[in-house]
Amino acid sequence: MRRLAANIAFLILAFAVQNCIFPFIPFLSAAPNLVLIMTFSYGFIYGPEEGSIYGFIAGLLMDLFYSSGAFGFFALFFMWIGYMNGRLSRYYYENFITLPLLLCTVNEFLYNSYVWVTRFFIRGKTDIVFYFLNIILPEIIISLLFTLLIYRFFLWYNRKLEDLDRRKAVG
Amino acid sequence: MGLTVKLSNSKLILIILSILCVVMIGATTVKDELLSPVRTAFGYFLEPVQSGVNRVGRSLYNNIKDREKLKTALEDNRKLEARINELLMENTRLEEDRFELDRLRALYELDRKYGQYRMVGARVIAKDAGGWFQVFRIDKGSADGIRADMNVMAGGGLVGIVTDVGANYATVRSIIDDVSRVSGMGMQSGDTCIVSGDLKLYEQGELKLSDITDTADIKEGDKIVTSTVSSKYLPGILIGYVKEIRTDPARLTRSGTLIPAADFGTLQEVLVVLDLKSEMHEKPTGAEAGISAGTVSGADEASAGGAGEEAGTGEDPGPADASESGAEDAAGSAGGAGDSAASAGSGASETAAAAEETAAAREDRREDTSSEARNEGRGADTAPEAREEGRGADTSPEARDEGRETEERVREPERPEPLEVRADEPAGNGEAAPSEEPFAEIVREDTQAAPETEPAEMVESPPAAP
Repeated sequence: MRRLAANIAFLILAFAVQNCIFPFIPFLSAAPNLVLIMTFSYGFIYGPEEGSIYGFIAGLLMDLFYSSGAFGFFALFFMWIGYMNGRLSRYYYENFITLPLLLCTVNEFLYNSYVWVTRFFIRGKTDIVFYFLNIILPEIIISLLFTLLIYRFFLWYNRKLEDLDRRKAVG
Repeated sequence: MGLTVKLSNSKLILIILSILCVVMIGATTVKDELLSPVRTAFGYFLEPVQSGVNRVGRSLYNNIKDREKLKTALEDNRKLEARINELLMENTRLEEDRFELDRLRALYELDRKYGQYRMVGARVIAKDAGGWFQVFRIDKGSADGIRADMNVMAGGGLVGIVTDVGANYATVRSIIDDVSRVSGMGMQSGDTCIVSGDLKLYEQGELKLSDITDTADIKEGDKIVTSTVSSKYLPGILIGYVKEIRTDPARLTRSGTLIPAADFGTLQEVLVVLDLKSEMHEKPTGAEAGISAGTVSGADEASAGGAGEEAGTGEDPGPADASESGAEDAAGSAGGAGDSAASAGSGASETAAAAEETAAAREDRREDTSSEARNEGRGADTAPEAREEGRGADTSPEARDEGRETEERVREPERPEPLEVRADEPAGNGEAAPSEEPFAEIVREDTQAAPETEPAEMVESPPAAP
């Protein structure tokens, strides 16, 4: 339960940092999608059940911000991202960083494709090459960088939490 | 732990939540305000987090900035001293100019109105981090008097519109967002156009300009302001400057690009205009009935099929008392001093005379003015300042027929104004007549093809024949 609360708090913090700090840094042309990184990391580490719950919460946060009429748009997507990455958690191995980076790339691509198809393609804005080069690719690159940092941080604080729990059980 | 229960039937939960999401998407697409209590409740909790984090980020960034600035401070100081002297001299000169400006401004209706808007400043606390959406959140909400559909400005130009309001926050959609559509007009000519956001163009710092009629007097370098026919945007707010214009392949309309006046890259503080366009003609007047009469007769004319005279007679049973009052208004103000409404009314009567050449042109123009009447007529004779909006009502078919009779009287006090150019223009040449119809078609198709745009936004485009 403590883990759930801590993880949700981190999720909210990541959401706030993503929207309140990164866009205001003038020399940064793209910002990392921290919420997505958190979601797939949670899913990958904790499995599909928790992954989909965190994903749902992450999506709700996004929905609250983008009030463009279709509430639940992001909740639906992030929930499935959490779930699907959770299915891969059997390959989870602490010091194996390559797979998270690969997951990051795939998830970023899925997320951006989802937005592009549902919000742009159906309105006739079909130039995927332009959108890919100008929006999707920069976001993937910077998100990869942040995945390295955030994923390490998760591993570290997860171990801390587990240590605490173990000590409690013993004591 | 509650989690253990969930573990056993995780797929069931996933499916239930998925269905919930789909239902919510459907429900809020149809009726957006369904979930606004939830949003507001979350906003109470989320806003402090967001503005707190934003403050930390801002102070960090400002610290770095300050350090950089210190390095150059001494040099800057010397330069600035010299500049102060320069400015003092300039100031005295400008003060003289100000009196002149005040006089000129009194003449210039748009500017005068511009200054009358009540505004409140707000800080941008959150923006979309990804590149897809151009929405941001400000730290003022309904508690500060902000409501949905209020216009947002910065740096003297239009920035966007409030789409969603909580108690202490509001979400603003920029005009550079890909789904944004603003109805604009050339400041000099009053010819309408549509300014829409385009992600692709915004990479070069531009907006899309479209739906300019073939004959409209809009050229490169012109100022584009928000149009008077817009349902959500207040009239006369600067949007930007025309960068380039070219004729569309169909040769009926022109389109181009526009450089926005506001700087969207470094947006930190914005001004929210507290006046709502929808309240500018709140009082229901007789003219409102005239609007419906006008549209109905417009439809009759369309079905009458080109026979100008027939259309003219078919119109007669149409008039409600309201359009009569509109005619009275036109006649009355024509008798008075050179009011703007007067010149508009007479301008319309002039076009009426000119249009007798071609029946087709006439029919077309009538549609045009009747649709305008629908938009504008509500403001007629509510307040003296609403006169300008009343123009549409004055040019309603009935008013025009009246106006033609009083043409001789009217023409004398009249002064050539941009409004006249605008009223004249569709009838000016007969060839322009067919061009209006496909144009209307295009607009309608566009709005239908874009289900993402909110219904109210569709009204932005000049309404076609019913």
